[in-house]
Amino acid sequence: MKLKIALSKGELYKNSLKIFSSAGCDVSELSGDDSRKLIYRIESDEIEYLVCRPTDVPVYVENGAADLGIVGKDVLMESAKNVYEVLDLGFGGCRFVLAEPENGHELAERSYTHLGHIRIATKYPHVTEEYFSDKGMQVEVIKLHGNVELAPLVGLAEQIVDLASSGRTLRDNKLRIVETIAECTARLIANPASMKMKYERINELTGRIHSAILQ
Amino acid sequence: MAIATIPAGLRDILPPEAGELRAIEGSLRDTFSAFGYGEVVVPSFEYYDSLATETGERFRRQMFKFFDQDGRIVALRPELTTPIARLAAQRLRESELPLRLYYSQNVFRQQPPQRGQQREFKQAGVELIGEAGAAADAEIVTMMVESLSRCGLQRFKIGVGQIGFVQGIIDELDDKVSKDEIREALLAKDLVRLTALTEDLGEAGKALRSLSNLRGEAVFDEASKFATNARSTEALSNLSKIISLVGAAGLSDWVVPDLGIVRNFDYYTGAIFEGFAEGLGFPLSGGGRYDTLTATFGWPQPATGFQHGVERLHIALSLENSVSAVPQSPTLITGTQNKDVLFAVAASLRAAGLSTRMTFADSSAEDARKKAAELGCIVVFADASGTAAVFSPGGDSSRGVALDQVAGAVEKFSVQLGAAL
Repeated sequence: MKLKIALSKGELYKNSLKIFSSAGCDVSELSGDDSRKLIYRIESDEIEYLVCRPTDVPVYVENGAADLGIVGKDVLMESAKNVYEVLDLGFGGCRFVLAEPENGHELAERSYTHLGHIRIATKYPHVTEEYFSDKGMQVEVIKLHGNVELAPLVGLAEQIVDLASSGRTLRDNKLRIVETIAECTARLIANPASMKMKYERINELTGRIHSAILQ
Repeated sequence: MAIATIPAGLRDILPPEAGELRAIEGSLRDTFSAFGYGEVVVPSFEYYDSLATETGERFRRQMFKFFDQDGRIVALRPELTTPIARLAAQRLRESELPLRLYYSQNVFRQQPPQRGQQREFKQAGVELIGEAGAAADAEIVTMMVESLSRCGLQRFKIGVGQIGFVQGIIDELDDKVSKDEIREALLAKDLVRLTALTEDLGEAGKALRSLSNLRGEAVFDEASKFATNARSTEALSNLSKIISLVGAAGLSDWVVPDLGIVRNFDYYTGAIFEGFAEGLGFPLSGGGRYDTLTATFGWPQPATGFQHGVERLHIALSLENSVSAVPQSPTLITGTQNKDVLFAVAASLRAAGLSTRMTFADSSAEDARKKAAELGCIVVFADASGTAAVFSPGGDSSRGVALDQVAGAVEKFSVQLGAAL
């Protein structure tokens, strides 16, 4: 019974391969550097690996086009897809943070309390809306596609919600972390129907991956 | 004028798909009738308050709402179980219990449209009202299996869970523990968060983390180790009885006990069911016991039921190449200048049970012969001479057929074609 596994290109790719390798899967074919291949069929393991953009992994898994997937918790939180979040794989650590310009706190406070309006620039509108709505705050969420640190520096927004790992990009742009919203690592996700219909295979593989992580 | 279009998430259904869906619906209805269920039909829209009782937040948000003339909020039904509970409490209290009701109607939800999930789709299902106990739930499960088999679906599984088992475990947790968060994590299928929430909760925590593994034959032995209170123990006993009765009906191959199934905690009170088809990335069917719903309409009764998504079933059958073939092409009569003959011959064919399509353009016997080959159906040409020619798509023909013999000639060719197929 074949399993289809969607892997995230980019940051998580190498560590994903390491985990599968430690779990006893043959991923030698996928380790070549410049391959443009999108599908790797490993007959010996009865696994098909799909190489996807990180934001697309939950889409493939939710629809059942992939049984399993490896994706960052940040992508998962933003996409809010109906999938099983099976394991925390431990690597790819980063966090969602709320940040503002170093001396921008007063401006942010004033905008919200006085004018009743604060603007948050972000690549992650869903996470941002959830975060503020949990706090009972109504904010204007400005969706950007990248270099979000620029926004508060030129008056587009008072604060930003962004993904940080070392925090250097924020510091370099004279932004200060106000609060950590969530810690994110790579996760193994599964399609709910596959979990039921291919239960034994998935359970066996996740067991091996779990052991590999614990080492 | 621009090409007409319809709102997103809605669709027109054309032949042959509409015919295929009807055939599937027919098989489901036949199964429900075979179990002694009677059909009910509920209105397309009702007062929002009736529909919103006990249904989750998601359905409330997703309902299409509008105002009637009196300014009251009305909404299109997002599912059938609540309207039927309302109907039963309103009209069927004096009837002999239990009520066995089935339905096959469209429901409406404002959800993002995708394959197998449009904004308008058909649910076919049953409600068994007024009967508590495992036998009633087992009846529901056997109906789920038999109805899918009758449609021709082969590779599917019905998972049977029991919400009482996990509720019992959660009940035993200390009051300090955030039980709502645990339930949320279970519903969201977030096993990572569940692990974090239950790490320090000892055996109960282990039980919660093991839920998705508690399935299959060994489940009762495994799970009984975790059942520390009456609620969990009774739930296991109930599930065991259901599985046993399903086995007695010879349907064990399609049914899996699965304590990992978790559905709306406020709505379901006992056994819960989920149907999956191989190759379909989303559930095909769902249901469960819901003993508190009719009480909200003033008539407390135990109840259980299930529904299939008809379009999803169609997709599942297509994936298996098991969709029932569309009926054979009808006989086509080409027109002559004498339309009287055309109508008379068509009527005689229909009276003989032969589906017939007429064409009104003037034509010739030669055209009729070509058309038969082109369209792959039998073509009859009736002209002013008082006789007809019958052409088979394979090349055979009969000429000079008396008009009252045409039906017989067509039937003969039909049988030959049927044999050839």
